Amino acid sequence: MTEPNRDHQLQEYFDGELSLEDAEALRLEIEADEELQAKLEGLSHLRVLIRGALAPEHLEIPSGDAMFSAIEAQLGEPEAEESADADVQAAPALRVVDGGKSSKTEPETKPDAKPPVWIGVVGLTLAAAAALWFFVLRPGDTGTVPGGDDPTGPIAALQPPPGSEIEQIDLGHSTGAIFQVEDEGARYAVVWIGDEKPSDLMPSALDTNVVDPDEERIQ
Amino acid sequence: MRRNRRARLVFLFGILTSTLAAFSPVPSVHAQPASPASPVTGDVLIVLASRLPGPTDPRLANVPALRRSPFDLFQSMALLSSPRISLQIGEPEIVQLPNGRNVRLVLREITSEGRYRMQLSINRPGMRDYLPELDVVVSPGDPVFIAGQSHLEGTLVIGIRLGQRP
Repeated sequence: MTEPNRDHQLQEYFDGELSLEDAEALRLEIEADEELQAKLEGLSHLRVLIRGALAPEHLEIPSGDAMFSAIEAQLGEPEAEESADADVQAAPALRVVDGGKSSKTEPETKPDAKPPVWIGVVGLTLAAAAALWFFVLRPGDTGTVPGGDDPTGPIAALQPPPGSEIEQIDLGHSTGAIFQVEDEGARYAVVWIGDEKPSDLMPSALDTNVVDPDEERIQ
Repeated sequence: MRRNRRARLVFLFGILTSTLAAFSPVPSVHAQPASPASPVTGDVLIVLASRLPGPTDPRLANVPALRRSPFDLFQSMALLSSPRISLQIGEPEIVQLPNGRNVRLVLREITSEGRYRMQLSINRPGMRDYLPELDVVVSPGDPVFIAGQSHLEGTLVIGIRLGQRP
């Protein structure tokens, strides 16, 4: 047997991995060979050194089979416990939130808490005051007539176009003319009607300013 | 829970109503038609204009239209009278003129613009109408003139004003 094979077989013997027959044969050889005894003693010393260098917790690591057994045992537990735990963790995400309410204030609200009465009272008071002002006390519904008894009335609020306009005229048997006098941007309607002697009284300037009296005459 | 929500709704309604009422535009005083019971005051200027040289009544200083053409052809003007009138819609008002005729005034309506629509006529009782009918719209304080009647040595110029000019 070559040297490496001897060392490997010695390592297997040290680890207890040889068969009984091979282990017994190798034990006889070790007893007869001091060199093999020295190597075996070296392996034992090396094991002590390795165990001393490793942390104690690492020395307690369970074997692979033990770990799988533990996992299978956990998987085999009743689902009720797991669902209960899952509900506790998923509750905040699946909670039904009441409209308009903050999720922070929800836990603080007592189910049997009474609503704040002052909110309703203040709201009703404001609504009543607004309705009273709107329908009763609001200005502008006084029925004041423009140019009525109150000469200082706010006629300017509407600002009608200045001046006067003739809409319709019936001169009957009279002869006359209508025209306008303009002053400061305002036009004032003028009706000039000839009297018994219109030729003596009508200003001659009307001839250039007025429409033909015959055309304006409405019978 | 429901009562609390209801109270909040009422509160919000009150706030909203107050806000709308506070900021809603207030209608103008003249936005509504005049009440039939509210009279409209005015005056009738009865002016005797003449080509004869003479003074112009200082009370006519606030009627600049009388200084414009063709009234500027007259060299003198005298304010014979200026009777006050108070018109109610649909109710006629009679003003006597110095030549024996009457001016009949009827306020028809107040327009949405705040102007006065009136109807007037000038006649002599038992005689043919001088002016059977005239429908005119005037702004507050602005006159309408009817001229041409002979009187004494001059011509009558009738100015009718309703309301006060702003």
